[in-house]
Amino acid sequence: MNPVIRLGLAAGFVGGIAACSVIDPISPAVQSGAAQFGVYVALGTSLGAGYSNGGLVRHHQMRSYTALFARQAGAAAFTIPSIGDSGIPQLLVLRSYAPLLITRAATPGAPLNSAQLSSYHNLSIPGALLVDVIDSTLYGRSPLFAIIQRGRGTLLQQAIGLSPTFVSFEFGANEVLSAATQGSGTLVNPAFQPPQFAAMYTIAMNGLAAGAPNAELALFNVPDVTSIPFFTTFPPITLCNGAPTPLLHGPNADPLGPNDLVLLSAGAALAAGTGFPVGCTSYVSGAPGNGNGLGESLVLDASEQASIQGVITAYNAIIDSVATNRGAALVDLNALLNQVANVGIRNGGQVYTDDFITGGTFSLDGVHPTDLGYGIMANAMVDAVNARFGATLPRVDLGAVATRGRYRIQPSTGVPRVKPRVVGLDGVIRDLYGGLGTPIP
Amino acid sequence: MRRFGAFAAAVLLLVTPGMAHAAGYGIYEQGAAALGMAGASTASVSDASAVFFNPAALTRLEGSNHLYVGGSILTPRTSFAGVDPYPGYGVVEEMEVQTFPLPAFFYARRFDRWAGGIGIFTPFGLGVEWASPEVFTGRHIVTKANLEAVNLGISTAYQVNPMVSVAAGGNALFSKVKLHQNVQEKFPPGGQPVDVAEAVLESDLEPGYGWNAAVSVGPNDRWRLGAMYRGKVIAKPSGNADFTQILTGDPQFDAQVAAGLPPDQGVSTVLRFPAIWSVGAAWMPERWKLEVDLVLTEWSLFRDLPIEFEQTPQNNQSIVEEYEDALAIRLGAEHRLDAYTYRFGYYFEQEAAPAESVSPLLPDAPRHGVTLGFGCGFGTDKRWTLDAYNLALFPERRNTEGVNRDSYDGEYKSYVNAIGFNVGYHW
Repeated sequence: MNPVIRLGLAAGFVGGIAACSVIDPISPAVQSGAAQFGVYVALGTSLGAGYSNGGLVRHHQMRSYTALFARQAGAAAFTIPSIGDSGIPQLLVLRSYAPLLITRAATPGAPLNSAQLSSYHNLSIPGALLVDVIDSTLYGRSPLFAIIQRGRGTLLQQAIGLSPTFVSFEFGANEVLSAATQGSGTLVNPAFQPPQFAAMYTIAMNGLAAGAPNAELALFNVPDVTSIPFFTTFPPITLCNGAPTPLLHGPNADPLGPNDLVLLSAGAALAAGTGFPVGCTSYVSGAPGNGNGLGESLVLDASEQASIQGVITAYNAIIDSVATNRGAALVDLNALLNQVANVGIRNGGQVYTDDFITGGTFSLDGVHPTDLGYGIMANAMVDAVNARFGATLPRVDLGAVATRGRYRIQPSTGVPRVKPRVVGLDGVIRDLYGGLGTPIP
Repeated sequence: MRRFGAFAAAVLLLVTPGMAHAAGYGIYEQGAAALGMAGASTASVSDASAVFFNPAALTRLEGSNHLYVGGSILTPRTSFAGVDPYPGYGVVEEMEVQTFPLPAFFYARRFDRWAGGIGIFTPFGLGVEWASPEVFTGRHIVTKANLEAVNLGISTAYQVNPMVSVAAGGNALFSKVKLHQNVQEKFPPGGQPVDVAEAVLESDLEPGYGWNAAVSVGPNDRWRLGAMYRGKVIAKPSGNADFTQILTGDPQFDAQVAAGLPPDQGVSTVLRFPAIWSVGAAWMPERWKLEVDLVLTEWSLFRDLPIEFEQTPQNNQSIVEEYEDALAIRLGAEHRLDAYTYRFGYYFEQEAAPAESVSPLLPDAPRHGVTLGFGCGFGTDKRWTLDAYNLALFPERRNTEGVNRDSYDGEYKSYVNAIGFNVGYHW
C-alpha cells in the first residue's frame, strides 16, 4: 500500500478513536482562595498515612485523606512511601463470614519507592505522636519510621525541606489510643499530658512558621476514640438464657457496667468463653462461659473512658486555640466521628456508620477507616479549607471511592450486627503503640 | 421546471435526512474526487460535480457527456458536558449516533465551446436527536430537529477563449424543517420546571431560488485558477404545529395547562441559506495536482429562525442566531499512478455561530477535516471511474462561555466521519 495512504489510514483511525469518545463531565474550576496548594505536605498519624485493615499498602495509601485532598487541591506532586502487597505490617484479611474470621496475610509487602531522593510529601506515620514531629528519640520503636522518615531528620525538618505551601497537621489520637487500646485511662507517657502536648504543639507550629513562613495550615482535632468499632463492637452484656447478663472482668470476675467497653482485642478470650458467666455461652463462638473475668487490658470502663475523653477535650481546646491564632483551617474530626457514630453518613441513598465490618466506614482492624471513611475525612478537610481560605476545592466523589478496589464496603442498613474474631489484632495494636513509655528528653 | 424540481427534491428527501457538516448547517461533501482533496476543487474539478464546485470548469471536461452519481454517508457523534448554573456540572448528554446518507447526482454536456450541467445535491442540512429525550436536560430547547434541503442546480458555461471560461446558472433549493421540543412550566409556581407539552413544528417542502456564477482560468497546462459564487436562497415554508399535553398528575395544574395550551394550527418560518464565495488555485505538475481554496460562507444571513403561528400570534417566537461569516481554507493533493489515483487533503473552517448561539439545536464549532481519497478508471478507454473518500472531521470543543441565549451552558464535543463514493461515466 502506498505509504501516504497507509499513514493517512493510521492517523485517521487513531484520531477517530480518540474523537469518538463521549465528552468527560466538567468539574467546577478550582479556586485556591487565600491558600496555595502547589506543594502540599502532610504531617500526621496512621490516618494521614492511609493505614487500613491493620497495615499500610499502596492501594489504601492512595486513598488516604491526604492523598485524596492532594488530588482535589491539584497539588503538583504528592509523593507517598508506597508499599506493595500485602502491606506493612501484613494486612488483615477476611477469611470467612460464618464464623466471621479475620486473620493477617501470610507475607508482608515491601517498600516500592524507598530510593526516592527527596522526602515524601506524605510524612504521616502510623503510630506517630506529636513529639515525633520535633524529636527523633522514639523513632526506633517502629519499622515504619525507617520506611517513611528514613533517618533524614525530624519530620518537621523534612517537611520544611520540601518548601511547602500548604501543610496538614493531624496529631493527638495516638497519645490517647495508646492508653485506651490497653484498657487504661492513664496516659502511657508523661509527655502526653495536655500541658506538655500544648508546649510541643507550640514548638511544632513555631518551627513551621519559621521554616515555611508562607505555608497555610489545616489542623485536625482529635476524635473521641472510644466511639470507634475497636471499643464498640463487643457489648458488655450478653443474653444468657434469655436474660440480659453482664460480662465479667478482672481477677474477681466483677460484672461490667452497661457503659463499660469491651475491646475488640478481647475476641480470642471471648471466643474461649472468658468473660461469660458459667451457664452462658460466648456470643463470639458459642463456647460455654467459664466464669473467668476478662483481663483489665481488654476492658475500658466508664471512668477510664471519662479520663480519656477529658484528655481529648483538653487537646482539642489547645488545637482550637492554635488554629485561631495561626489562621489555620480547623478540621473537626471529633464532630465528624460523632456524626458517623450517632447518625451515620448518608451517601447515595445509603447510610454508613461505625458498625464494625458492616458499617462501611471502618476497616477490619476496627480502628482505621476504609477507603470510604478516608473519603469522608477528605471531604471534611475540603470543607474546612474552603471555608477558611475561600477556596472552591471540589469534594471527593464518595460513590467512586466507596466502590473502587478490592475492599468493597457495604452499608450497614438491614445487616445484623456481627460478633467477629480478629486474629492478630494484638499484633496490630502492638505495632502501633508499643514502646511509647520511653521517657522523652 | 418547478414541478420537476419539486418531484426530484421530494424523492431525494425521502432518503436524505440532513446533517450539518460544514460550518453552520452547510454540507460541502458533494463529490468523492473533490472530497478526497478536502473539497479543494474550485480550480481543478474534473468531473460533473463541477456543477457544484465550479460550473465554468464544465468546458474543460473531456468528452461530451458526463454522469457522476453517488453520495456520502455521514456519521456524527456529539456529546455535551454541562456547567453551572444550568444544566450543572457533571451533566453529560449524548446525541443518538445517526447515519445520514446524502445522495448526489450530476450530469454535464459539452457543446463545442458551450457546456451545461445539472445537479441534484444537498448543500445544507441539519440532523439532531438527543438521547433519552424525556430526561434530556435541554429538552425545552430541542429534542430532535431536521432541516432537509435539496438543491436542483442548472448551469451554463462558455469558453471565452482557451484560457478563460465563465458560467452562470440558477438554483432551486427545496427545504423543510421539523423541530421537536418540550414545553415547560414551573410547578408549583416558582418551583421547578416540569414538562407540560410536546411541541412538534413541521414545515412543508418549499422552494427558494438563487443564482450562481463562476470563472475558470487556465493560463497554461500546469496552472488552473477558479472562482465561484453561489447566491443566497431564502425560503418561507409553512406547515403545522402540533401540541400534545404531558400530564403532570396534578389535576388542577393540568387543567390550567390545558386551558393555556395553543391549539394545533398552521405555522410558518423563514429559512435562510447563505451565499458562498470560493476561489482556488491549482498547480498540476506531471502526475500531481495540488490545490488551495478559500471558501467564504456568508453566514451572517442567518440572523434568526422566526416561528409564526396562524391562530395564536402571541406564541410567535424568533430563535435568535446572529451567525457570522465563516472562512475555510482547503488544501488538497492528487497523485495519479498508472493503476489508480490517490488523494489527500486537509481543511479548516471557522465557526459561524457566536457563543451565544451554540446550542443543542446547532452546536457549531471550528473544525478540522482530514481526507483520504482513492480513484480508478476502468472499462473501454476508462470511460468509467470510481472515486471514494473518507473524511475524519474534528470539530474543536466548543464552550458556550456562559452566555448561551437559552442559559444552557457547557461544552460540546463532536466527531464526524464521512465516507463517500461516486461512479462516473463519460461518453
